[in-house]
This record gives sequence, structure tokens and C-alpha cells, in this order.
Amino acid sequence: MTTLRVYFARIAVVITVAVLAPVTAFAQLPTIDATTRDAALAAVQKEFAGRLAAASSDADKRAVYREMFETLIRNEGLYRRLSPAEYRDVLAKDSMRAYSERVTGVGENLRESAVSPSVNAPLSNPAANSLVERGLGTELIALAADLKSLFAADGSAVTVNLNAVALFRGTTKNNINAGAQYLYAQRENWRRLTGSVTFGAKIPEKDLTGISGIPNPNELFDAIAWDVKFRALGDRDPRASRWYGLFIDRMGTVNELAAIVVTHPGIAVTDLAVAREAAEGVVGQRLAIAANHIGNSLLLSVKTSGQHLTQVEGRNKYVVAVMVDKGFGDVDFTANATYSTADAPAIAATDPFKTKDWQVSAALTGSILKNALVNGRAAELAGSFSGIFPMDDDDVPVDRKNIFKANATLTLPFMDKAKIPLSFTYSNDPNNLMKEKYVTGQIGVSYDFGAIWSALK
Amino acid sequence: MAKTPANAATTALKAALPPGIKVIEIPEDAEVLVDVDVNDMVIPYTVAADGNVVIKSLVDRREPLSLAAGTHRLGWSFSHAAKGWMHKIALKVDGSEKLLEKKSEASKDQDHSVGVVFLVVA
Repeated sequence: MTTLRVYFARIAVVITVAVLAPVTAFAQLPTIDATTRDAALAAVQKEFAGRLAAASSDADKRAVYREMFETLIRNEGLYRRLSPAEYRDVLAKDSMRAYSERVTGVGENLRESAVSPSVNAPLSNPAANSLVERGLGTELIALAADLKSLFAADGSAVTVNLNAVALFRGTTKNNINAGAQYLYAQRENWRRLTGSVTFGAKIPEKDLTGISGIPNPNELFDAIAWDVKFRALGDRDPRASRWYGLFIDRMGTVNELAAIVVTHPGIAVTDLAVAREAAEGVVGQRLAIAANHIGNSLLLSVKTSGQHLTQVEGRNKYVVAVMVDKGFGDVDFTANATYSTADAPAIAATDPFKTKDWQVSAALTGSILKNALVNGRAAELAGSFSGIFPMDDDDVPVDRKNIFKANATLTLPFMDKAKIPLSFTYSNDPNNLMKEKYVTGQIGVSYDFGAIWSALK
Repeated sequence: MAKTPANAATTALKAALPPGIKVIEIPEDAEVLVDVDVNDMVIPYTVAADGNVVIKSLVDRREPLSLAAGTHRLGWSFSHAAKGWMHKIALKVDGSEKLLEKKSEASKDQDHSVGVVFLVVA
């Protein structure tokens, strides 16, 4: 019995130590083991001692220190490689030690075009001019105004964009002292789901049916549109758990080593300024590489949407779409494939029928003029192409041809969030340029200054 | 109140250091806190003293700094990837704040920084 009691007591001690150990170890974010770190530092100092002694000018010394720091951070033995559960654990504990904290936006170092969601839901919004839609979702809730009534007679449309996480009260407000990643991790998967509703759009009949040969194809109807979008793959938010390894481990270790190096007694007092500059230069370079890595990551989203004429019964259009986003260098590639079916009215002696289309579209978008017009924001230059391929069955009484569009858009930033798009569109079917402000032959020009009006209201 | 004259160690250190690196004198019995205030961080910052980590964190921290008499190096490294970023690092010596660095996106500062100061405890 005594032996059994001792046995259970030992188990209790082991369990207690196991529970308490991480608390002690992670009183702050995990640091590099001191012995490993000092050995790595000594090895680098030894390797570069001769070159450092031979360096006569500050520029030479800076170059040697830079190489030393780059050699140090290439040592894979200095990185922790925590498991997802360990990351969650250390983030929670770090947040608990917060003295105070303010919560703001995200995405400082990422290209505007890499992190901007298509808040006006172009694939399902009849008033939008864009040919493609990005798979990114809005942060919590966003309003996008296509306020064409200021400049044209085709009404105005407002899109309300909602992220599913906004449905959960207190997701970000209850833990105001916690870290950004800790807060984002709360219901992270719900952040994949966004939806939008577009009110007040006026669309021509042919926009719904894809048929321009019916009577009054350009007659405008009041429409309401909705969409539900799910980001199935990827996340470009720097707070996302998929970037813990890159930011918390890799970049966190680089920061740690930079702070260690400039306070290390092994660096001569007279060399401290050049050593600091060298470390700072490498930190900046690694930060830019990390930001680019996130900005170029693959996103795959699916969406379903509907458009409904509000004053005519039984006139609906439904769309299923797949959206792909991928960055290459400083350019973003976006591609959409959609399948749609729409109710068409009876023509002459025929019964009402349904039209079916496949649409493929692709765009290349680059960010230019960063900080030139608005501090912290860039303009976007985009080239896009779309093709609509009718897949009608024998019930459709008209012969629809394939429609192609090519578009170039310059989107200028305005104030903190607003955008002003200016676009040129070519189409093989001039009837499809109705949404443009000016149409000459097969080319249309469009602008939307609604953002200015909205921002100044 | 008359300013305390710099001691010999401080004077010699200032003469040897390249320009731009501060030397801060601290009374031996003073209570010293490192105070870090940040906006959304996704990359941990580090504050180190004499080659050892004092703080590695993603959130605001205020931690005591135990310093023996003599000369010490205090360094830091910040990298930012979140919009609206800001960091401020200061020393609180017996409640009196000595600002070491304050940078922000709003001030159009560089989004990363590595800094170092010398602390002379006497």
C-alpha cells in the first residue's frame, strides 16, 4: 500500500512539474538557448576575426559586420520551430503579460494590391466595372459605394460586406491588452467566411440574361445582389497562424540576435555604430523578404451569389465562382471561373427560358506610386481580360455569341480607405459597354468619383 | 537643481563612442524599469542587456532591470508588419522617464530599427 502511495505521489510530482514547466519557460516568448547562442556567436567571431582586423574604413567594417550577421542568422540551430499548439500557448502567455495594448489595422508592409479585398463584390455586383474579384475577405465590415448617380443616370449601388467573425460579440474588444496574433486566432476559421449584399443597383436586362437581342435589352431594372465567399486556402493577413513560423520564429529570432549582437561585449565600443547599422540593414532586408512572401502567397476562394430583380417576379441569376490569387514579384495575378444560370423572359412565341454561361477572367495588378498620393497607400494599375461562353441548350431561342472584354484600370487611393477607379474597356460586343461612362465604337471609358463624395460627406 | 557632473567613466566612454550612441548615467541604488509601448506587433521585439535577453514579446511590457555598478549596454530590435505600427522604448529611473526611441508609421519612420545605449551605473 505504501509502495502504491509513493508511486502515485511520484506521478503527481511529474504531472505538477510538467504543468508548471512551460509557465516558467515561457514567461516571455521563447528565446534562443544561451549556450547554443553563445557558441554560434563565438564561431562567427572566430571565422571573421581576420577580416575584421584587416578592415580599415567604416564602410569595410560595416560590410564585414553585415556578413557576420547574415552568417549568424543562417544558423538553423538557432530557430525554435514550435508546434502550432506551442505557438498558441506562448501567444496566450505573452498576451497575459501585456502592460497595455492598443489594437489597430494590419498589413503595413504588404503590397496594397496583395491585401486589398474586393469589397464591392464585382462578380455579383451589377454596378461594378471590374472584370475580376479577389478572394480576400473584408476584416470585419466594410461599405463600398458605387455611387454612379452623381455622374450618370444608372442609379447608385451600395455594397455591405460582412466577415463572419463580426457576428461574434467581443472577439476583439474583450482582450484589448492582448497581442494582435492572439486576438486574430480567436475564431480564425470564421474569418474565412465573408458575405455581401448590394442594394440600389440598376441593371439592364441583358446584364442578367446575357442576351442583347431581346426587346429593350438596355431597360434598367432595380436589382439586389448577395454573395457568400469562403477562403478555402491561404491567408495574407500577417496575424494568421500560418505565418507564426515566419514571423514569431524566423523574424523574432533575427530581432533577438540583432539586440544581442549590439549589446555583446565582444563588439568593440568604437565599432558599435557600424555593427548596429549592419544588423539593422539585415533586419530590414529580411523583413522585406518576409512581407513579399506573404503578399505572393496563394489564395483560393469559392463563392456563390445571386442577383434578383426587385420589381419583376421570377427573374433571378445565380452564380458559382472559384477565385485564385497569387503574387509574382511585385505583381498580383487574379483569376476567376464562374458558372451562372439566369431566368430570361419569353421572347415572341417562346416560353420563359434559362440562359447558362461559363465566364473566365484574369487580371494582373501592380501597386505603384506608394506614398505618392496618400501616405501608406499606393495606386493600383491593373490589366484584365474576360470571356463569356454561352452554354445554352435547345430551349434558348436566340443564338448568343462568345463575348470578350479587355480592361485597363488605374485605381487611385483617396484618404484612408477610399479608391477612385479610372478604366478603359474594349469589347468585341459594344452592347456590353453600357456600364462605361463614354463609349466610342468598341471602347468604353469609366470612372467612379463616388469615393470622394462619400469621404467628404 | 544643479545638474550632476558626469563621472570619469562616462566622460571616457563618451569620448570613445561614435556619435549618435547615448550614454545614460544611473544612480547605483535607483529603481530602473524598461518600458516598451507598442501597437499591433506580429514579429516579437527584443530588448537585451549585455548580451542577454531582457524582454522578448509582442505586447506592451514594463520590466525591472537589475544593474550592478559599472558600464552596461542596453539594446533593442523592432520589426513591423502591421498597419498603424508604433513603438516606444523608455527607461524609468526612479519614476523619471528617459526616452530611448519612439518611431511610428504615422511619423513616416523606417519600419525596423536596431538601437543601443550605454548605461553607466555609479
